[in-house]
Amino acid sequence: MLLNNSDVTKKIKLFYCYTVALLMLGGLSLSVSETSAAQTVDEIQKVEVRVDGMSCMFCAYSLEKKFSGFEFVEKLEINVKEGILSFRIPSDTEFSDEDIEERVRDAGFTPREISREKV
Amino acid sequence: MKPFTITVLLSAGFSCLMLLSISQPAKAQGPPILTDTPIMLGLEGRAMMFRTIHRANLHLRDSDGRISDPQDRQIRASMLPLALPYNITPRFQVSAMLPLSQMTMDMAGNRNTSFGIGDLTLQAKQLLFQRDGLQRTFRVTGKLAAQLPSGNENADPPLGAGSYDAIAGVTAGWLQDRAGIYGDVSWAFFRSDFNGYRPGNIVDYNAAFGWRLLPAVYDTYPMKQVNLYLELDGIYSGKNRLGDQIIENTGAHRLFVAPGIQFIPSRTFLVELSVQLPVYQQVKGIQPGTDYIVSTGVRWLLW
Repeated sequence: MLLNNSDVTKKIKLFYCYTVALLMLGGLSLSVSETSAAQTVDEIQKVEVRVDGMSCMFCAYSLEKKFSGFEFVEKLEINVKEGILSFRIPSDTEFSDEDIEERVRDAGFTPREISREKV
Repeated sequence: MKPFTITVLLSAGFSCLMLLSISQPAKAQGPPILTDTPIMLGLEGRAMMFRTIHRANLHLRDSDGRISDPQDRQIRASMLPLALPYNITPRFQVSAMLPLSQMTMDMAGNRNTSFGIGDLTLQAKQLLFQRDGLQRTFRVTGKLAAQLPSGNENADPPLGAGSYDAIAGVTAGWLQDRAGIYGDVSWAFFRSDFNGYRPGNIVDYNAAFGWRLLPAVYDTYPMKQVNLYLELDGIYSGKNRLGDQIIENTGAHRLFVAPGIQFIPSRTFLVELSVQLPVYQQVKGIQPGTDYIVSTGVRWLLW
């Protein structure tokens, strides 16, 4: 079947419209997902606690036990060399510096500086 | 059996048991191997420790040293103490220790063996001082213990001392990076009579130097760890009494040097080995000398 010029032009215009619409939708969804991801990332907080008195493996185990029991605590790491306990928690979790210090003391150590940053 | 033989064997048996058990319950929290530690950290205070201790008294001694023994008396004691500490607060711990003991005495070709539970020890330990820094800590604890005569003192050889004992002690420890220095002194200041027999008081003192051999740099927890220890373990025991009479051939001062090695492969498990060799033995009268003590231990943190 032969198409005349007018039909060809209509189909090309239609194709352009579909393409632009798809691109716009794609961009929109990308933007939405980026925003969503950014919001998710904003909700996570990294907490670092300087802990004095950590000098043996079993000592560190005590500290790990005190914090790993919380469901909201993730990526718990203990750097013995630097004397740093670090973990991640949701930003909206009520886990105050006082709570953290109490936990560290209960584990048998001396808490020092506590820093928080969004990741 | 001659009175001399009975006295020697009984005193040796009591000495073995006391030396093996007097300061065991407080040692469940971690290094060092034989010396008590003031660090009551960890494990929510709930742990179990199994240990085997083999002690051999293969020669008789007098105050001048080893002497010949026509009857070739030999004593071997093995103990499997089960210790269970519990932290009531971060600064206060209670613990119980119950040993499973086997005593064997050979004399003139005859062998007597007894097997069963030994004396139960209950202990309370309080953290008195703590100063922490980056990768370092200095702590001092005080402790009070009671040893109850759950072991059969009438077994041959005896499995228990037969007396109710009260023990007080103090422990200090300083750890920094790879090194640790520990010391503890405990005194069995009261020992009750039984059947008119009263065992002498005991002073037990220990010092330890520990060195983390591997890893050289302890970076991120957990890491496998190998520790070396050199410990000095001393025990002074007073003379025993029967009524108002002092029993001869009792009472001694013994000092051991004890190299040891400890491997910690995981968060909750360690194995250790220590050999105690006598460097000084001053016995009153004639008594069995201690040739060596081998301790192998497993500490398993169940919770």
